Amino acid sequence: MLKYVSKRLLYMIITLWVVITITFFLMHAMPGDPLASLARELPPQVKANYYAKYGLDKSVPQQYVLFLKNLCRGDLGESLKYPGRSVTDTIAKHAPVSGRLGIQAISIGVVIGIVLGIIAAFKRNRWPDHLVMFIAILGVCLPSFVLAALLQYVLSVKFELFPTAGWGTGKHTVLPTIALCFGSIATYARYMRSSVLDVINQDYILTAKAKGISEFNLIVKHVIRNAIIPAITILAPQIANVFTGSFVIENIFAIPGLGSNLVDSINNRDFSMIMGLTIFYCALYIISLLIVDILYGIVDPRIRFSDDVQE
Amino acid sequence: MKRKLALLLALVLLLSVFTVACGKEESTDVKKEDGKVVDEPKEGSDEDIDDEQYVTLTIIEPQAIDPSTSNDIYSGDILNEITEGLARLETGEDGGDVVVPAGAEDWDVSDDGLVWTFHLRDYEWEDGEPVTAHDFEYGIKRNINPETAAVFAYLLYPIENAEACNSGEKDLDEVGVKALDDKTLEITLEKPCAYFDKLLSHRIMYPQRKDLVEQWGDRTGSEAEYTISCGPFKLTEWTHKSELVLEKNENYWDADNVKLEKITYKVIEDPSTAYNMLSNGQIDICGVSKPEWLEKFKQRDDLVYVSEPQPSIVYQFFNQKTKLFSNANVRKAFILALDREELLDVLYYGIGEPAYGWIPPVMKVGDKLYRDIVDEPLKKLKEENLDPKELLIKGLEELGMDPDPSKVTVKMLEGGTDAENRRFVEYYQQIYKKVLGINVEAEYVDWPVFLDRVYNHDYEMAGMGATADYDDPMTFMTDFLTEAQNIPTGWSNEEYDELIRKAQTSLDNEERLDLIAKAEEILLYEDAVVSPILYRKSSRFQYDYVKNIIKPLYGPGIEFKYAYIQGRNK
Repeated sequence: MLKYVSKRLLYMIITLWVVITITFFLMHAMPGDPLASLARELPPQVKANYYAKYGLDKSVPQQYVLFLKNLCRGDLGESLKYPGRSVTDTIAKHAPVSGRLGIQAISIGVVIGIVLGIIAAFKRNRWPDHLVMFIAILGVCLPSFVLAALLQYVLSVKFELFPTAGWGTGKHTVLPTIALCFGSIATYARYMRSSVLDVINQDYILTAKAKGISEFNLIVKHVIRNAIIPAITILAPQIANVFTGSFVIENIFAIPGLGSNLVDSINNRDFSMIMGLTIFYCALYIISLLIVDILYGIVDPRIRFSDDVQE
Repeated sequence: MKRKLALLLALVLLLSVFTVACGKEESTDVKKEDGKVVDEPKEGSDEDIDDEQYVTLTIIEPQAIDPSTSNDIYSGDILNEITEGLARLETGEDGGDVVVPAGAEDWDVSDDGLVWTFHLRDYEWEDGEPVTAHDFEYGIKRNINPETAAVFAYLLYPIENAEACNSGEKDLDEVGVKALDDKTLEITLEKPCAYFDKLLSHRIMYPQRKDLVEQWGDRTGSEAEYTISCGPFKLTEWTHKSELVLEKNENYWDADNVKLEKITYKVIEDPSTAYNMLSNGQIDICGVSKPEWLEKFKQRDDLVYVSEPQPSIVYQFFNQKTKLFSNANVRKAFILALDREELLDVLYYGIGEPAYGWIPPVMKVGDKLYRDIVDEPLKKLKEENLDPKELLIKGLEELGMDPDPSKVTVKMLEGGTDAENRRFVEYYQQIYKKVLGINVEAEYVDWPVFLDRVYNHDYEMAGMGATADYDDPMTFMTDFLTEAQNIPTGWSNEEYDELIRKAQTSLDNEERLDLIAKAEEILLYEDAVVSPILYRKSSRFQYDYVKNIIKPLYGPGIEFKYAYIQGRNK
C-alpha cells in the first residue's frame, strides 16, 4: 500500500509539472495582457514600466524558469489584476468558501441521490420509481443556473425567505446549495438505481434472502456496499470541483468563491493567478483520484493494491 | 398511477401560477426624470432626515484602494469617498462639473500658467496626523516613479520633468513638485496646460502617507487595514469579492456636512441578481440597462429613474491599411449608412443620444460647452450626401475595384461572443446590406483577443467605446495624433497633428475652441476617420428616500459626501 501510494505521488508530481508547463506556454501564447482591460493604447513608457515591474519584459522561457524557481519556494506570486494580493492568499481565502458550499451540495446530493436510487430500484416500475426518475430527468435537463434564478426569484424576491445574494450566514448558503445539489441528486439516483438493480439480481443476494436476513440488513450490508462503486467513481471530479467552485452559481448568488476568481483571471490575463489556480485545481484533481482509488479498496475488498494495478 | 402523476404535475403548475399571481401589484404611473438633477436641494435640515443614515448599492470588485496601483473605475469610486485631494468635482447649475477647492483652500497660478501654488487647509488623516504638502508631493512622485508602474502616470506628464522621470531619464528630485512648507505645495508645469485644474481631483494627484506606504509595501490598498482616509468616509471592512463597508470619518474637516453613517457596497456582478435585490429593497441604488427591467422599475412609485449624459462615446472605426477603407468616400458611405436614431432605440433601448460629432455635448472648453458652439460635422456630411450607396460606388471606382456593392464583403470584428454581441453585429449586417448592398461577415473574439487584433491592425472594421479622463476635448482629440494611435485606424494627418499640438499648449480658450473645431472637421467631415454612434448616458434607479447624490461627469461614479436618507420607512 505504501509503495503504491509513493509511486502514485511521483506520477502526480510529473503530471503536475506537465500541466504547469503546458498551461504556462499556452497562456503566454494567448493574445492580450493584463493591461488589455484598459482598452486604450498607453504611452510606451507607461507600458514598459508596467511590464518591467511584473517581469513581463523578459522572454517567455526566462519567465518560465523564474516561475518554477519561485514555485519551488512555495511562492505563487502576486495577482496582476489585483495589486497587493498574493495568489496563495487568494486561494486560502476563497477556496474554503467554495469548499463549504460544495461539501454541503455534494453531501446532500450523495445522500439523497443514493437513497432515492435505492428506493427506485426496490420499487422498480412502481410510482416511487417513476417519481425518482422524473426528478432525475429534471435534474439532468434543468441547468443549475436556471434553477438558481428560479429559486432566487421565488424564495427570495417573492417570498423573502432567504437573502437574494451575498455571503456570511448559513441562510446565504441555502439557495446556492439547493441549486448545486439538484444535479448531483439526479446523477447519483440514476447511477445508484441501475447499480442496485444489478446487485439485487446476483446469486449472493438470493442466498442472503434465503437465510432470512432482514431487508434493512440486506440493503446496508450487501446491496449498498456492492452497488456504491460506480457512485464513488463519479465522486472524484466532484471533490475537485468542490473547492474550485461553480462560476455560474457563485456569480448569480455573489458568492466570494474560487470559481469567479478562475474565470476572472482568464478574462483579465492575470497570468500569476491563472497559474496558481491551475496548479491548485490540478493538484486537487489528482489527489481526489488517489483518494477514490484508495476508497475502492476500502469499500470492496476484492480490489487490492499492487505495484502496477490499482483498478 | 397515471392519475397520481397527473395530480403531481397539476400541483406544480398551480404553484407556479400562484407564484406569479403573488407578485406585487404595480402602479401604472411612469416616473421618468430624463436629465440631470432629480434629487432634493443640497441642504437637508438635520431634523427632517432619518435617524438611520445608511445606503447599500452594488459594485464590481475594486482592484486596490491605492491611488498608484489601481486603474479601474471602482477603485476610483472608493478612493474618492475616502480621500480629500486638492479639489473635488461637484455638479454645477448647468449640469456640468465644477472644480471646487477641497484639500486646498485656494491656489494661485503664475501669469504664464506654469507655476501653480496650492494653499492647503488644516485637515487630518483618519489617525489624527495632519495632511501636509509633503503628502501630496510624495503621492505625485510615487506615481511618476517608474518602479511604481502607475498606469495613469501619463496624466501627470504636463508637470515639469514628469515624463523624463517616468522613463528613468531624470531623477525624481527634478520633478516639478515641491512642498514649500507643510501647507504650501508648488507644482511647475513643463508647458501650459489649460485643463490642469480638472486633473486636481483625479486619484493621480491624491496625497499619500510615505510612512504607511513604506510600512505596508506591496500590500498597500489590498485590504481595509492597509488603507487610510482623509476624506468624508473611511474603509472599515473589505471582504474580497463580497462587500466593502465605508463609515463616516469623524476626523474629516467637513464632517458636519456628511450625513450618511454607513455605505455598503455589495460586490454583485450578475445584473439580474442586482435587479432582484433592488426590487425587494436589499439595495437602494442600481444601474439598469435591460429593457424589461427598465419598464418594470419605471412603473414603481417608490423608485426614481435617473438618466444622465456621460462624457463618453460609442463608435465604429475602420482599418485604413486595408484597400477598401483607405478610401474616404467608402468610409463616408459606412458612416452615413447608419440611422443613429433608429440604432439607438433598437440596440441601446433609447439610453444615449445619437452622435454626429466626436466630442460629447457635456464637455467644456474653459467654462463653455463645446457642442453649444460647434456644430456636429456629420450633420453637414449627411445633408450633402443623401445617398450613401452612391458614395460607396464612387469610392469603389476611385479604388479601381468592381463598383458593384454586392461583390464587397467586409469583416466586422466584435469584442465578445455572447448573445448581446451577436445581436449588435446582426443588426449592423442587416443595415449595411439594406443601405449599401454589401455583405458583412462577423468575427466574434474575446475582448483581450479583440484588443490585440485591433492594435495590430489585424481587422477591417470594429467598434469600441471611449470615456473622457478629464473635462476637456483634448482627452478625445489626442487619441488621433499620429504617434498616439489610441484608436488604431492607421490614419495620419499633419494638419490635424499641428492643430492639436497648438491647442495643447494654448491658454486662450477661444483659440483652443477654434483649433479643436477645425481638427474635428478634418476627423469626421473631410477624412471620415471614425464613425461616432452615440453619446452615452447613464441609467440608474434609486429609492426615493435616497437624497442628494452627486454624480460628477468625470472620475468617480456616484458620490455620497452630501447624500442623506429621508423617509425610508414611511
